[in-house]
Amino acid sequence: MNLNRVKEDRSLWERSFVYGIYVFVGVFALLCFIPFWLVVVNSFATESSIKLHGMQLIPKDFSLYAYQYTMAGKQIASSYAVTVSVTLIGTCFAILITSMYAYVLAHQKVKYRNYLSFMTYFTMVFGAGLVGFYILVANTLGLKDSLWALILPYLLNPFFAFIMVSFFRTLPYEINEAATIDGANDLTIFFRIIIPISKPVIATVSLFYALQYWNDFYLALLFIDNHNLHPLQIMIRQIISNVNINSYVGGSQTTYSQAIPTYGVQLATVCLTIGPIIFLYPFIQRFFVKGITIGALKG
Amino acid sequence: MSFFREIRQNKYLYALALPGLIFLIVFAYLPLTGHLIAFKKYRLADGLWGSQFVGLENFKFFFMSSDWYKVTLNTIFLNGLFLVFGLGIALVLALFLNEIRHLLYKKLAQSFIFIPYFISWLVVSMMTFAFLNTTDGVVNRTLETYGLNPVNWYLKPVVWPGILTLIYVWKFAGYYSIIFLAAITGISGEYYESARIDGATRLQQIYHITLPLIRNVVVVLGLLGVGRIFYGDFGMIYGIIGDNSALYSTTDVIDTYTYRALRVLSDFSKSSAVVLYQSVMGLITIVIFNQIAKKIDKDSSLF
Amino acid sequence: MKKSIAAVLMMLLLVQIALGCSSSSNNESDAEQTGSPAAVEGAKLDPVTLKIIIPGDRPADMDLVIAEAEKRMADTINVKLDIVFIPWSDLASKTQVMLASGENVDLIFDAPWLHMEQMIAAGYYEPLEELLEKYGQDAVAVRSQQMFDANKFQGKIYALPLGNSHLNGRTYLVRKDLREKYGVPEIKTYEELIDFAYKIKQNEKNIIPILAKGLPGQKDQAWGAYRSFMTFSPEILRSDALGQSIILHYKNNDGKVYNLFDEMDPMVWSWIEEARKLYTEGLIHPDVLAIKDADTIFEAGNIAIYATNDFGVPTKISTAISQNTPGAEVEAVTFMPLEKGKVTTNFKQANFQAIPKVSKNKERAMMFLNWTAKKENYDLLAYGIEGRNYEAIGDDQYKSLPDSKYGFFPYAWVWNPTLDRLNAGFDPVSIEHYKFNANADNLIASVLTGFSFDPEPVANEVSLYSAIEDKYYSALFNGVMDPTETWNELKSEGEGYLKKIQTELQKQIDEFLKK
Repeated sequence: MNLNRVKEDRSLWERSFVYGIYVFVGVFALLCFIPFWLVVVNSFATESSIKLHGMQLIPKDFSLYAYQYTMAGKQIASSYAVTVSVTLIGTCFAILITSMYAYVLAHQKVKYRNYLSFMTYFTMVFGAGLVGFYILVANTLGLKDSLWALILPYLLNPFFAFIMVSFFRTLPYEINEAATIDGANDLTIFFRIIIPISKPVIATVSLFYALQYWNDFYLALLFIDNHNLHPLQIMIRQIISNVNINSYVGGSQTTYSQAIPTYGVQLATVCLTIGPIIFLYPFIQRFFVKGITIGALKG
Repeated sequence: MSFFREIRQNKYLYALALPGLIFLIVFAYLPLTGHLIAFKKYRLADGLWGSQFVGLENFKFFFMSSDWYKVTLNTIFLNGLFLVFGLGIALVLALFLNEIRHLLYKKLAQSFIFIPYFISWLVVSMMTFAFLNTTDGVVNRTLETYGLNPVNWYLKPVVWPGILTLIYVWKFAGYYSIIFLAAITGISGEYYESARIDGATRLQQIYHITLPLIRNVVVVLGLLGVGRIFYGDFGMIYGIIGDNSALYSTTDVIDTYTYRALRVLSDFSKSSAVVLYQSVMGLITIVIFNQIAKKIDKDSSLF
Repeated sequence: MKKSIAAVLMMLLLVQIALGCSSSSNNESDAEQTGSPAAVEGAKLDPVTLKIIIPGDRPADMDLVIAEAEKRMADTINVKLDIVFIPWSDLASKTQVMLASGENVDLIFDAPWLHMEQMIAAGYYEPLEELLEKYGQDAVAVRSQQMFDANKFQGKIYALPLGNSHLNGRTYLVRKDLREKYGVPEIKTYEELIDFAYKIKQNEKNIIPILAKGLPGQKDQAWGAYRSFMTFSPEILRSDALGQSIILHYKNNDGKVYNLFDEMDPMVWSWIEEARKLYTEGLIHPDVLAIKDADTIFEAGNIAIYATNDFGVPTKISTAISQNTPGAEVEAVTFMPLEKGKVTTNFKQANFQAIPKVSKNKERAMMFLNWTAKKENYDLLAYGIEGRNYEAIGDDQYKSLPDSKYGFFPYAWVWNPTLDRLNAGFDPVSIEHYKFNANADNLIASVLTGFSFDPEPVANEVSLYSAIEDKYYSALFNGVMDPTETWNELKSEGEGYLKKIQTELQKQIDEFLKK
């Protein structure tokens, strides 16, 4: 909040309230950060120190073995490539389609918007059955082993759509009226006026879509058999679950001569998947600035 | 006829919605036919349409024992706790973050509270175990240093709704607070200016300006959560509780119960039947709550 | 710009829908058998790519091994390998969905503990007798007759059994260094094992004497239930209806189903009570029910005794332990006899490879399985490239080379007792056990060899009862909850369903025995 505010004269009560706010937020943020710190720091610890001492704030022995194990082979490069491209393409298309759709659902002129809303919401309650969904994507649309199988099914997430709907509803309708008087049609209004002032929600939902694509393993698990097209999450999931096969296989002469770093690998994978997104977030924050709604009305 | 008139009048708007609509039809409505499996004895050779129709047979295994009642209650209770506390704390966080002037503090805090969202349930359950286990868990070791007896948390079902709620809030409050923050930043500063000039305290400003103006966002999120109240978070609960039968009485939800029951028989038809049950109950619930929301505030309802 | 992209996308979708609008549900056409060129001995065939489903993680050297295998096959059966690895945690659901949608797969891993019987009942797999006769002579020769007889379903061979032994190994892993520290001689009986456990309890504050398994998927390794594997008078064998549970069991090879709810066996009850004693006195790990990965706990170094399924000490565990706790040594203690005719088995295997009905290359798939039954090919697929991944020791043992980038998964597609090599790192006694049990004639054949239970008539009861039993079984046999109370609760909730299951099982057994 970089507004030019006149220094306010606050009561003692208000001041302590503000301190309380800082403390509360600080404590909560710390509680969120410490486990993250433990994860990152212990992913660089030797497996034995994790097993012996649990997760420590500063581990005693350092080792890159967990990362070496996880990143062995060229698999990781191709997985990163797949995940990044799917996320970029998917997010762009998704935010476009969703914002257009949500705008219509929120628009006062649209007579059938409640029916559309219900239809949309219905799909949230009645999720697609596994078999029906699989047959559709793999057989009917023939998308098996193609990147589109990872992108298309998530282009319109009803949850995100409704978030945008409720945001669009807060925009005063006078904007539309003013623009119509000036001779703009609905398309112009949407792209030239509404979108620029909707930056906060667009940024938010874009972030959520990016996360959805980045973290997804379900679609890849179902539809991608070609290991060159495996995104990051599948690669990681295979590593982790293979390491824990004890509960699945009855009797096996496992012969790895190096102990597989179970805990370390799990932690390293968390770091590898979080890393890029954490760097992305501060850039999104820029968009959470005060809206310029009233300005638009006056202009 | 008025249908076509409406379309023509707003043709640009409906055109905007068209891609989304096509998407919905293809990816959400077409596969719905898969739900028919719940009423059939599915065999690949017969395909979906040819498989034998068995009516409500697949539902029997779920409703035969008295367990269905217990797990349904657990599901609703736990989801209710998650929703109330999750959204509640998220709202508080968003409001507080909005008050913080120190830019670096604010940005750091915002980033930190978002982080737990990325930590997979696998790692969370590892950390929970490291925290609560009897031999060398952090909690028990602290108790011992103060001379108290260690507690075997993994054998005490009664505390787990609380523990799970804490974990849920930790993981999702940051995520939801972003939505609220985006809404709050959309409120024009002029409202606050005029209120301040009129002598309102910060707290009064929050109560009379911020909250009402983001009310519909809160209600919408609440409704969305209510509609899913019959769907337990399988990843979370199975990840943390796993197969620890001592804790089932308070933490077993529909999804984990069905998973275990069908693990032995892996039968698509039966699992579809349970999903259908959850869907129908969810639908009834949301219709009721949506009506209530409409009565309170027309702008807040979903449909 | 953005708008036109959206428009193109829309068109794409519409076109796809229009094209693909044929039966999304009827997969009859895929199920036809398309003939592959007839296998003429010695003549070069057209190349065919086989899609093979294997659980686990794709090892880094997999491409090398595949290349070598394809090279060897180029002049004869000319098979190209498209191997798809599926993570263990998703194996059940993904393979189910693949099969249910009629996807073109040529060879697939399945197991009774996964969903094999259901898939067979639903008609997904091809019966293999003809294919084995025509193209699979070697694959048959390396497996014992008992193995085939015992692993039929509804009287037919629906999948190739994969096993290197006819009996599952059972071992208590014991910390040798701790044993020697307290001057305890080599452990030869169960009583001595427990004495050792008490010694540890008294003298070592930070070491937990006993670790067993508490997950429902590991009911066989709950401490009390594990006793059944090393007790022989009478020998209690789990039934075919409830996975590892011994609540329904067989005794004395008499073809009868015994129900512990009807009559509690005093020996079993003594196991339960002893487990309770051991738990309350702090000898069994207090969090046994919550532990997801018991191996890791043992490897951390503060457990003295650990129950596992296998002979010998797994290399993974001995390496990990020596890294985590210097000076620690693990030995294998088993009370399994090495006498012929002492132990009963039904020769059932736990891993299989099946050929789905929808495969278009069934003959070639069988030819491939046959090809793997030759020694040098088996070695390639099971252990990797000699000199790079493993070192052959003699004719029947091997040693994994350090930093080998190949994994270990012969149980997923090629295992058989004849060609399998033993890990040279095992102690001589364990190797003896393996060799002993690789010979089917050393074991008593159960009268139920070849019998498989069809759960369909009591499907609901089985799933309901399993859910109930899962709540109490591991807690009961690990001593975590009071025996009498827990037993009564389990009995009152599950008795009705179990009776129905027992009746159905007995009925099917009686029919089987009549033949």
